[in-house]
This record gives sequence, C-alpha cells and structure tokens, in this order.
Amino acid sequence: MSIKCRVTSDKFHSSRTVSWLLLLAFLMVTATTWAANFDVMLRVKPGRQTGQLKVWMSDDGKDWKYVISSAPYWDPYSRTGKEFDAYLFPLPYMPAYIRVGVTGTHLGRIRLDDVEVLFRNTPQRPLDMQVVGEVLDADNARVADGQSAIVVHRGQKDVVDGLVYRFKPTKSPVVSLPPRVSYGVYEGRSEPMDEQVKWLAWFDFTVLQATPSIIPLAREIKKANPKHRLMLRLMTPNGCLLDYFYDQASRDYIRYVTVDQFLGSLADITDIVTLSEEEPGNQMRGWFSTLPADFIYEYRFEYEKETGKPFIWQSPEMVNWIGEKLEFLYDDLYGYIKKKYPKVKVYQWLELRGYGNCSGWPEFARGEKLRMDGYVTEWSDTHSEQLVETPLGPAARDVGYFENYIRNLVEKKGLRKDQILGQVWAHAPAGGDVVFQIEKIKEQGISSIYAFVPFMIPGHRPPWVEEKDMTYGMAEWEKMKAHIEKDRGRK
Amino acid sequence: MGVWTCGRIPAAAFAFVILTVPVHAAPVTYTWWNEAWTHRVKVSVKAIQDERDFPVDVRLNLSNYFQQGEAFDPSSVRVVEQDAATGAVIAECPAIFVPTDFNRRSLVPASRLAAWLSTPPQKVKATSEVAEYPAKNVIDDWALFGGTVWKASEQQAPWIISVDLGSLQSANCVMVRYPGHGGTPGVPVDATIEVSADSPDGLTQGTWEKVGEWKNSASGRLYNVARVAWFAPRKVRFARLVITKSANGPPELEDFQVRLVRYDPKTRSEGTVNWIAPGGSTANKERVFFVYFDRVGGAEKSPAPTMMKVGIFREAEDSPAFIAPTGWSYAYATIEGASGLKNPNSLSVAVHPQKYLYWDNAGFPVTLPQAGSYTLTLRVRCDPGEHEFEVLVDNQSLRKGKVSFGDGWTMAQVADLPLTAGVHYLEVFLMNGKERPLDFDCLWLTNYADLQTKAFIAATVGQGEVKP
Repeated sequence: MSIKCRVTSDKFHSSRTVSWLLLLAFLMVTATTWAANFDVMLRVKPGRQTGQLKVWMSDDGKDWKYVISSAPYWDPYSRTGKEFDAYLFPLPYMPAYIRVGVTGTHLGRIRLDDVEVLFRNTPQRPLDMQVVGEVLDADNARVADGQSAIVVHRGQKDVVDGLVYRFKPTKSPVVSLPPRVSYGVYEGRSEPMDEQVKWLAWFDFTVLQATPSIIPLAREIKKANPKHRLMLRLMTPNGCLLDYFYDQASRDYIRYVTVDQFLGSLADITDIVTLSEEEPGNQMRGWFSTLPADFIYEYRFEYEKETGKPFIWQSPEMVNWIGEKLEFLYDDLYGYIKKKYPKVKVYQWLELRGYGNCSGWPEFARGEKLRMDGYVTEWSDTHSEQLVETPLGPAARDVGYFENYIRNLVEKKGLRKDQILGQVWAHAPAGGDVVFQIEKIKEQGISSIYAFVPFMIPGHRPPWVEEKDMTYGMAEWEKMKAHIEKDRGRK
Repeated sequence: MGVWTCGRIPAAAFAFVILTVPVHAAPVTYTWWNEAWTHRVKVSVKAIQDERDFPVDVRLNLSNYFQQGEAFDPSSVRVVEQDAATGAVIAECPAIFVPTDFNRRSLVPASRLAAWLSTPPQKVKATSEVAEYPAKNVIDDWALFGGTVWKASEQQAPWIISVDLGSLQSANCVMVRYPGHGGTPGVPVDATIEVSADSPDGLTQGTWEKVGEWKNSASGRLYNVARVAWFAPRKVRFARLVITKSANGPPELEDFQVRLVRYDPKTRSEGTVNWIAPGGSTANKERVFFVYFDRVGGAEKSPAPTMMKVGIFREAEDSPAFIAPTGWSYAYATIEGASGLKNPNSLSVAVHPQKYLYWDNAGFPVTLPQAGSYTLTLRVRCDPGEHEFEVLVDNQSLRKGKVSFGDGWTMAQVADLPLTAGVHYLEVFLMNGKERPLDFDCLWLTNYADLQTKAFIAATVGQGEVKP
C-alpha cells in the first residue's frame, strides 16, 4: 500500500484551534455548489493587480489564522490581462480583526485602495485601522478613492507587512459536534494470532487484507468482540482488467480467487468488502512506463477494433478505453457479490473521474458507471486556492482535495457520510499526526475512520517492519488510542 | 489510394506499434505493387546500427481488416520492399505468415479445477493413487506453488494420469511439473504426453496422439521440474501423461496444465509475418516494407517466392507465463537498454546473495516453416566471461557448452542446431553470474549462420490500406 497525495500545506498545521476549523468546515460542508453564497465576505479593492496579498483573521488581534491569498486572481490576470476591480474572500464569520498584507520570502510591493466586509451583502466599514510593518501612505487605504496605500515587503520569511482592520464581530455560528465515530485499523495476518485477535477486537472494525490465512483470524475476532464490524479488502489480481473483460474463463477464476474463496466462508460475519484498494494504482501498474504495459499491449488489436484508433500508448482515447474496462471490472464484481452475498456491502476504492483526485493517475473511471454501497477515502492534506463563482463575483477560497472529494461523493453519487470510510496514516509521517488527521476527517462528517498501521501488533514487530517505523507507528498508536478512549468516553 | 474502412470500423484500426513516428516534409506515395492484392500494411524498419540480412518479425491481427463473412487468406501474404523516398517497388522478399503459436496471457489453464462452478467439468483419473495423495491434487490448487501432489500406488510401470477437460477444446500446450529432481522420490524419468478427442474411459482406451515426451530426466538439466509439450492447435478433450520409468519409487506429480490456444485460427487470423530484410542496412535509416494480403477467394495470385532464409524472433517476455514457471528464480523485468515494444522487456535473474550459481531457463514456442540447421542468437547481459548454457528443443538437449559474454549486452550465438519443421518448444538455460544479474533480452532463431545482428531492430506498423 503506497501513500498518495503527500503534498501538504503547512498553513493549517500551525493553527489547530478546533473551534475555528469546525466553523470553517461547517461552511464548506454546507455549501451546496461552487456557485456559493457566503454570509461574510471580505472585499479588497487593490490599487494594482497582485497575487501576493494574504488575508488573516483573528478574534483577539493576537492569534492569527491564515485564510487565503489573492493568488487565484493572479492566474487569470497573468494569462489574459483581465483585471479585477475587487477581490472577494469568504470568511467563516465576522471576526473582530482582519489583517491584509504580505509575508514570505518573496520581495514586493502591493497597493491597497480599500477594505470592507460584506455581511449578508451589506457593507460593514472597519472601525479602526493599524499599520503592521512597513506601509506607505497608509491612510489611502481607509477610503475607496482610487488612491492606494503601498505595502512594502522585503522578503523576510517570518515578517508580515500590511494593515490590520478592526470590525464589529458577529456571533460565531452554532456548529454541531461531529457524529460519533467508530474506529478501525487496516491489517493483514500476522503472528502471534492470539495477540492479533486481542489487538484487533479492541477496535470497532477492521479492514482485513483478504488472504486465506485471515479466515480463522476473522472468526476469532468476532468471537472476542461480537460487535466488531469485519471488513474485507478483496484484492483483484494486478493487471487483470482486460482478461476479466474479454475472457470468461479468466473472469470466473478472478471472481473465485477474489471473492468466493473468502466470502464463501465469511459472508455471515462480513459487514463490508472493499474492491481492491487504492485503484487504479495496483491494477494499472506499468501505466507510467515509456513502453506499453504488456497486459495492455496484449489486447492492442481489441483496442484498435473497438475504437477505430491506432494503438497510441497513454493517449486520451486509451484512457477512456481503459476506463471502460475498469468500470466493467469493478461494477461487475459489485453485481456478482450482491447477487451471491446480498447482505454484504460493497465499497469501491477506485478514483473517480472529475471528483478531485490528486494522485497523478489519469482519471480512468466514471463514477456514474460504478455501483457501490460505499467508498473508501484516504486522508490527504492537499489544498489549492481557487476562484469560485458567487453572486457578487468570483471569490478566492481554499479548497481541500479531501473535502472536495467527499462533497462529490455526496452530491454526484448520493452517498451518505456514513457510507464513506476515511483512512488516516499512522505508520509514517503524513503531514500531521494521526489525531490531526482524524480531526480533519471528522470535520467532513465521516463516521468510520481507520488507521493504516499494517501488521504492527503492539509489542510484536514483524520482520519486514524496521524498528524506527515500528517506534513511530506505536507512538502514533498511543496518541490514537488516547483519542479513541476519550471519544468513547464522550457517551 | 484511400485508407479503407471495413464495416463500421475505420481503417485507422491498423496501426498498432508506436515507437517513433518519422516526420516527412512531404508524404511519399507508395506504388501499389500488384493489382491482384487488395490489402496492404506498411512496416517501417529501422536498426540502431548497421546491419545485414536481419530478420523482421511483426505480429498482426489480419482479421481486423475484413468485414464479416470475409476471411483472410494466409497463402496470400507477400512482403515487398519499397523505396522510402520515392515509393517505388524495390523487390519482393520471401515471407511467411505463422499463426500465433504462443499463449502468454491466460490466468487459468483449461485443466484447472473450476471450483467456482457447482459442477466443475474437469476430472482426473489415474491408473493408481495413494489415498492421501489423490490424482485430483494435480489440478485443484490455484495458488502459486500449491504443493499438493499425486502419488501413484502401483510399483510397476506404466503409470498413467489423465485430465478430462469436459468437452472438446482447442489446445496447443500441456505442461506438467513434478515436485523433485535428482535423488528425490518419485521422479518421472521417461514419459510421454498424449492427447485424445475420443477416449471412452478418458484414460487408456481410444485414440491417443503423442504430442511430447522426455527421456532420462534425471540427467541433463538441473533444477527444472517442469516439462512442456507445445504443438499445433487441435481439438482435444483428454490429455494424459504416460510414465514408463520412475526413479526412487512410484512417480509423483504436482501440476498438470492443459492450455488452450489464445485465438481460434478459424475465427481470428492473428500471427506473425516473418521475412529477412535483405542486404545491408544503414544505422537509423528507415527501410519500408509492405505486407500485401487478400481475402479468401480473391484474384489469382502469382506464386510466392521460395523462402530460403528463415528468421524467428522472440522477446524474452514472450516466454509462456505458466502459473508455475517452467524454471525458477526468474522474473519479467523492465531494464534500461533492453529491447522491445512493451514492458516488461526482459527475463532477469538476480545475483544470489550467497553467490550460489544456478541455472535458469526461458521457454518459447516456435513454429519453423522448414527443417534445417539453425543458429540461435541470444541478446544477453551478465558478468563478462564464459557462461555455461544448454539448449533444449521439445525436452531434448541439443547442445551444452559455454558461450562468451562481453561487458554489457552480448549477442551470443549457438550454431548448427538441427531442427525439423513444425511447432516446437525451445528452452534456453544459462548460468547466472556472480556480480551482475543475468538479463535475457531476446533471441533469434535463423537457418543461416551469418546473422550478425548487433542490437534490437524496431519495426513500426502503419495504417492498413485497401487498393483504391
């Protein structure tokens, strides 16, 4: 299992005031479309177009939370020359203080003509303004008169130059607590079995790598904890999608080795199965080779016949063709399982086209072509700042890929949040410790969260795990355990 | 001339190999060589070094070019070299079309017990079996190296074990594997592999045809416990192994696989077109050939020129992927400098951490159009110096000795291999190195000894065309 999306932002790591994040999450989660309405918007009239302006907010003028930058406006300006009269920045609520300015290693000057807040479309003027750092003609930023204050920044990494505005704050919106969360772990079979049973049964659920040796393990876990939810990761053979599509004998075989040999004896205690994992990463190994992967090249004549196109490796036409075969594979397996084992829920674990992936794989499969009872997501702290349409014009907002994906699963696939599994990384550093990741997933309303700590029974380091990794994983586990126990005590 | 369409499938469906696409200032119009042929496909060939008389071997699915109700005529295949600059015809090259004789991708052999069906059609019979080691063990394990075996209980030869596929099917390969070698118990020393379409009892009665055999397995190659029979496709229902001599007690067998042809030649004309690019070729200079062909019932054709020189080309990764490999310790690998049109592109054996030397092999079905004395050319890489080798054809050792490797990729040649026409299973064994992995890239089998190919030759297949 590899880690995807390790690109992270440090913007959120340094500010972990949970209440603020919850408020932000509330607004993001309740926003139904990208053409969104926001109750509170900061409007900045620049004296000159810039991508370097940054915005922070604070309740007390001391503890600042970064919100967003004007970079999303710079991109269309630099490409087309389109100028924006004003920049809009949605805020989660009306804070007492807003800071606009520049920081970071880059050098520059920006010009600010005016700053105000639109509260439910009604302008709110600042009560006061103060200079921070080096600003020329600061008073020009008090009124919208076409005259600008000039913020000077000399590239100091940790220095902010700009202006602080004080406003009359509003009450924070009421945000309900996250749903009760059940916690699990991703595991495979490891020795000693009695210790593994004890370890796994402590959790609310397990995502078990389905191999023949987990069949007795699964039974023992259920005996130890009858309330434990058993989830099996059913792994399709790598590179089998075309054999599955074109060859009935192969299809029968794959169904058997992937599904029946496990559910045949465990269906009565299995709550959920996942179809493979982290796809297309496993199924499509070889895609990034310069030369065609052999399991695809073998079917080049089928490709040519069906598409009428020459076999051009990695072409957009090939992405579509492969996508159809992946859709068939995983949708057909869904149908096969539901027919033979109707009580078992089937979750997909395949990246869906247009849902906001950041793994670097082509988006092969279309969500509308895949049936599913649920979906597996993996935490990623990857963000991007984007322009979104609002009735007042384009606004810049920070969009997390994870939250974006969750939103798409809900809106496009109609999944409920309790049909989505969220995975956190606890075996190696992953852009925030395990509790931070859990909190981030909770913000999205996901109620089943599990850790990827494979084969690491406390006190029993498997031979393939290095000691430093075991040490790291166990330290993370201690944090997670404390968090889970605290959560369980919240009854 | 136009790019044709067949039914609703545009003719662009032809091009299947993309390496580098030559860019010309002005397109060349290629003369249509002969009005009696209705179809052709362009093949551009480029060598990275100067070459002489090198074999070209391209794989095509010629069924893709015809509409429903039409059938490709294998005897119509001709290859013509045309001038890359002017499009004029240069010369006709003797060529052959060989139906696909290998079966690389099949996840499950037809003999594998279909445990997923309520009534699996496959059955096994043996003339005797030890109760704890029944005959069914040879087809009921699905995992790699499943390890369950059949043991015969009778002490006297012959011992027979037979697999019933349940129905007539087009097969072209049987692979059997036994658990030991040398001094281990129950080694089948002499045996024949036979198939039948009509056996009443599926074991001893009816008509059986020998498709493979081995003799004296205890000597010769080391560490190879699999035996393969590769043969021209035929309809069979039963395959059996008749063991006439066993070492150290009654025989044991671990795996029995019957493999079906990938494509039925009657419904899909997929195969390779082979010819020799005559004379000298300059490095990186394109030579253009056209494969001309027609449907069954087309215009009368002039006779094909006699093919004096034959060259078969196989990439290493085209060796058959049995669920249990015929050798051990090798893997398909993608390595820099290896040739080919796809990945993985070599068979590689890692250096053993204890510097233990062992043999490894690569097996290939080959179809030879004529008998003769053949030369095997191997593109390999390992420690410089001498390496032991062995060449087997249809389980018979044809040559053992030493070949010399240089530093880096080496074209190692073994000459004067006497071979008959028809379908064979060629196996190559090489001694591994101490310092570097053994990388096996590709091989040529030619009936002329003066092949001096220095590197892989890329062939790019273009769009198909119909006669305007």
